Amino acid sequence: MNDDTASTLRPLGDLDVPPPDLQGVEKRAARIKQRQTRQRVAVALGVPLVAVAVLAIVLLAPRDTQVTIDPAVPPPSERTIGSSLTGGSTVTAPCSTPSTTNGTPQTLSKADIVTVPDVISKQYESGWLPYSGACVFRPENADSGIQGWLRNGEIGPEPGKNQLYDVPNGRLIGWAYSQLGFVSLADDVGFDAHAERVKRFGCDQYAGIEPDGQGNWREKPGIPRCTITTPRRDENRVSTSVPGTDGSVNSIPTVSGNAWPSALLLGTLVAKNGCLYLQSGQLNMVLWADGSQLVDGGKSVRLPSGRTVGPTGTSVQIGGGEVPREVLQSAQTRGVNPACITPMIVIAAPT
Amino acid sequence: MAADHGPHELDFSVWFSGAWAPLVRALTAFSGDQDAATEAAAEACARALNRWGNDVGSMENPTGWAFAVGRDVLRKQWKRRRRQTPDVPAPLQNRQDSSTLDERLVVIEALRRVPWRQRQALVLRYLLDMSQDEVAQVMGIAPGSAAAILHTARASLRAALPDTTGVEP
Repeated sequence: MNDDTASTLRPLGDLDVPPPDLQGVEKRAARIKQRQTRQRVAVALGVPLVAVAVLAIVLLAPRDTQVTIDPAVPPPSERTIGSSLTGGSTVTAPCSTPSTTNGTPQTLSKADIVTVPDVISKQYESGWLPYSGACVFRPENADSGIQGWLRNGEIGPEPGKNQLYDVPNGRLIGWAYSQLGFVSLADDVGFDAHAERVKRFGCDQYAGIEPDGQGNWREKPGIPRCTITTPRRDENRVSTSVPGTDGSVNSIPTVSGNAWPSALLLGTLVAKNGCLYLQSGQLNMVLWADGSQLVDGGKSVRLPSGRTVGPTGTSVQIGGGEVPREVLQSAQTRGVNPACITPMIVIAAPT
Repeated sequence: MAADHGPHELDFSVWFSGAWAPLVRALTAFSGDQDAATEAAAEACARALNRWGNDVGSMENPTGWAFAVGRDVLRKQWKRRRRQTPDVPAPLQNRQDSSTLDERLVVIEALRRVPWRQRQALVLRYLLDMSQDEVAQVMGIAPGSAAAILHTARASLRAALPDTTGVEP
């Protein structure tokens, strides 16, 4: 059998083959070496490059902040208040609030932002107000803060505490605390706003009021009003020892419109460098309702309803709400002194 | 080509001049394609030259190592070709009267119909004159397995050969 197979295959043993070409083999061997060298170099260079790329991705990847931009609500830097009040969602969540998306996020371009002169009036008429505030538990994120929407006229569970929604008619994401900022639903458990205000400002202006049962607030009987304003963390605080007496005010900025935030603003009316501020922890420029007038030598303001707010240096109550300074880009305002503009602006109701 | 090799090592050029023809014939029998076999043999010898001073030169059977390299080169070519042209060559019986064909072509055609592992064992054993142990070493299997494969391979070759070749079982 073995012999049979050997004899079967024997003709192949006589097969003519090309002569051995040692030189050709040597050239081929040299080419193989070059190829292997190139591969080794590629690996030697490629591995560190890949490692550096991976490291860069890991180090540069955004952490802890998840931003969903929705065409309905532009980012703060490009935001024109009230460009849209429906659809989608937007939550920047440095304050540990989980973000949700109801629509398809997309990149926003300048062309997508609609600037309408009377947009703020329409916004108030729609019943929803934009909110942009710092995070109480993330003060380092004050620049990015939280963005959400307040329902105009909604009374919060306690003075200085208002519901904040991710979008108009959207999901409750936390609370907007006056003078303090945003607190997420999770962080709100056990949060003592009164203690926080006392800690920051020495007293709590919202401790002495309570709901009157008719959608307004009234002073609690027997509790003295908080009139001491000693901001401890505010870089924008008044430097004079007697608030409200530094400089005279000749004019006040006004804003037109027929709908207003209905929150209650408490603070001290302060005149400083020719500007009239409401100081509630920090200085806030006030946009007064169209028709408001300076009276009492520039120390008080008479509202269109006839009520007088002031004089400077005293605690006052103003209906209205805080809005980011970007509102000036679109609101119909008059008499705004650029030197008086503060990060957050108070819009005062006409009553 | 100068190569670093010890006193017990063959000189590459000596080995190459003696191993070239058997290597090409073995790979031709294995592949059925002499041109491809020549190319694979050249590639295997070039790789052997590059590694001659390291390990190949001191091997007991450098030709077996070169055959294994050539075999792998050929198999890669087959895989590439199969992706490009999946058609398998027509069997010998369908072509024409085998008695008119060259005897070598008949054997090669018969070998092509033997499974490749069995074909490899036959080529190593009968064309490169290797022992069963050497066959097992090149194929990376146990000697007993090599014997079994050789037994099966002989039967397969016998069945693949046409009667006109005059080979008796």
